[in-house]
Amino acid sequence: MRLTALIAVIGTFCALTCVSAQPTLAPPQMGFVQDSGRSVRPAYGVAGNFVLGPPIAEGVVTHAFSGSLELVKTTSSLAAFNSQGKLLASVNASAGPALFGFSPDGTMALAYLPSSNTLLEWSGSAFVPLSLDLDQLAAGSVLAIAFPSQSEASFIVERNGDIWESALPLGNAGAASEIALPGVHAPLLALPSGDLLYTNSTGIVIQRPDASQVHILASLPASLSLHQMGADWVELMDLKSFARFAIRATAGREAFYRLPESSR
Amino acid sequence: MITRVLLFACLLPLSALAQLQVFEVTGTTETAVGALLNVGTASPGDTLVTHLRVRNIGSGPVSLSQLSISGEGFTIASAPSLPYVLSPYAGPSSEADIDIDFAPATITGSFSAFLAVNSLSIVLEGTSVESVGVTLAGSTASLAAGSVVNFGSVAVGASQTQGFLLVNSGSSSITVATVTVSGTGFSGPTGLTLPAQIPAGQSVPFQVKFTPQAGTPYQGTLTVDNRTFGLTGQGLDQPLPSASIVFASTIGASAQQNSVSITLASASQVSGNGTLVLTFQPSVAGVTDDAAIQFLSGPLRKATVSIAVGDTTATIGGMSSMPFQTGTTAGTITFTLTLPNSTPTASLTIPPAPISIDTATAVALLGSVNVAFSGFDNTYSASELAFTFYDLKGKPLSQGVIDVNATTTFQQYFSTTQYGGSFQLLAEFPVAGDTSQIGSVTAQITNSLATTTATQIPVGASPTAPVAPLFFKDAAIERR
Repeated sequence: MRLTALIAVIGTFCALTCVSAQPTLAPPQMGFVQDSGRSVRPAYGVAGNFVLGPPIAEGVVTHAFSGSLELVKTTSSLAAFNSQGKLLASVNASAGPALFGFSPDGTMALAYLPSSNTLLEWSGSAFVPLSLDLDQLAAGSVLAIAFPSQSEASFIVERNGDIWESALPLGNAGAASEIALPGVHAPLLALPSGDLLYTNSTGIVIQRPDASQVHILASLPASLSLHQMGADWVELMDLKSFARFAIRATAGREAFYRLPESSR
Repeated sequence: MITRVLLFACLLPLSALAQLQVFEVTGTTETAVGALLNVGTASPGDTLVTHLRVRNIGSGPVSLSQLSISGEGFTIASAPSLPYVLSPYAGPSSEADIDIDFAPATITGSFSAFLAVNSLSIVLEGTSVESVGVTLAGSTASLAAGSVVNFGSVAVGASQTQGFLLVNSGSSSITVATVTVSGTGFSGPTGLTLPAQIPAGQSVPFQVKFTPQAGTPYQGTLTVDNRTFGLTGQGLDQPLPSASIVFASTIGASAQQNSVSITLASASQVSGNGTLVLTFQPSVAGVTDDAAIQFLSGPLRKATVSIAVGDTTATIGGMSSMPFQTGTTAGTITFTLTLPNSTPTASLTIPPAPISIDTATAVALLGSVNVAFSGFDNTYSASELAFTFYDLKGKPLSQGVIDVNATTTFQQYFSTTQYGGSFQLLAEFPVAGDTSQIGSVTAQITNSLATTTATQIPVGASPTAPVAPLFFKDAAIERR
């Protein structure tokens, strides 16, 4: 009976709309990257074929893009942009870099400002300071943050040469917890998927939530930083040259690419 | 001190002075030297060389038996072995050449010394002044005034650039008023604005270029205020070794990151430079270029090529190989290497290919399913789309394959895009029923070569979509 009803419904709607059906086409956007001139630009194309667009923000200290939300920290502000590069909101912020962590769907985010030891949440329309006891983080150096759920913030901290992941509850429920991350090195990046991405002597390591690892052979610069540039993409910045690289973290499609230089 | 030495010189008998005459030699000019010779100005660390020539102006032979110098900052750098017999002057064979070095220590001020040539006595006077140091780029050692910088052997038509630094190692600011380069084949300085005020402890870079036009030795002069430095170089008619353009991968395909290097048939005996230019000729009718086909470092399509003596591989933009990407348009990428004696080329053909799908997603929304995929069509000929939806058990939904002729849509898109053959496609399918019952979708897209299939794309729930009403238990799909 159910099947009979379904066919009837399909037949009716197909007859009405099949002729005019057309898809929408647009340039594929892979994310946003920070160029050597401290500007953030959209990156278009497909894997292995990147084209950079015009800058949406300049004077950038750090940035990250979830696939739908771009967060930018300048010397004195913290700003949010949509995927088209439209400014959504901006607030004053203490000097220095920021660390960003996105919710699994990429629409919510946390921004941690080490210089003032403050945490802000992007709620979808504004940055909201969070009242969180971050003093316990002061004993170490915060390397990355994550936003695994709306009730929890995760801080990856280096303390006495060891890497720890500290989960702090957001709100009244829950308790803080901490686990060691043996074998993990800074610099590193926590992705919304739960992946942890870091480097070693042979290249890049992607540690999946189930603790399995994927190794990408790559010749890496001596001094680098990692930033999320898209839903499954990480930008690797050579801090001593114009060179920028892209790491694809998609399961089964992991790869390492060089990004075009934009300051030329 | 100068007065005391002068008085001593005046007390010598005139007869002792009569046989020998001392000349100062500057280039080809000789100037008779009297009782006092001012050698000029030098800076601490510099050595100022004064060339003297002793000539017997008498009628009989004279033995040069005494040659000495006393005084701070002055030394005899070269002289004949004594005793040295000077015949009455009849040409260069009856002369003795003496080089006197004036090398003041760190003290700034006047220096003097007493030079004795047999019974001749000459007071030498020099002045030490503070000045900016000149070093070669990459070196910390200051060049002494008068020292020579060798640009090495450079192929005719090529050039060799040498970097210099003006270094103020003193405790107060120094202003450099003039820096000049003279001599055929040498040019510069570049990268320098004059006058240049250099604060204490700071340095200012500049460059000098050597570009020989013939296979001969070259000499020039670099002058920094009152100090001069020699410049030499050798032009070589000898050509650069035969150069070949080599790709890391010879397989031509779109959306690839490849690299190009330049190998030489043998170790180069000369230095040289040139350019490597990338051009692209699309094979797709109506398409003129693909901006994504570019070098990934430095200028987009033109790189500087440098070859040093001993190199078996040229550097491209400062790297042993230059990465480039192949874009998403079928055609031919050509690299043209322009060197002083050759212009080799190499091409990489990007053949037409079926559409490549890079990512594919499907999301169930309230009342619709959105299917999106990104990829590229390097033929710009995408036409037919076909979608087949499956339930959660993997069984095709009963309406079967939904076909869409998207030829016009693709043609309009490709005629305006600046991103080659890459595209992001979004197809929205209204659904009468519970979209959560749709498990997957298979998408097919066809171009002039073949049909590409993205099989069983899982249909995920939209994180932002409203929850579907419970009374829609079944799914039906249509296209819009």
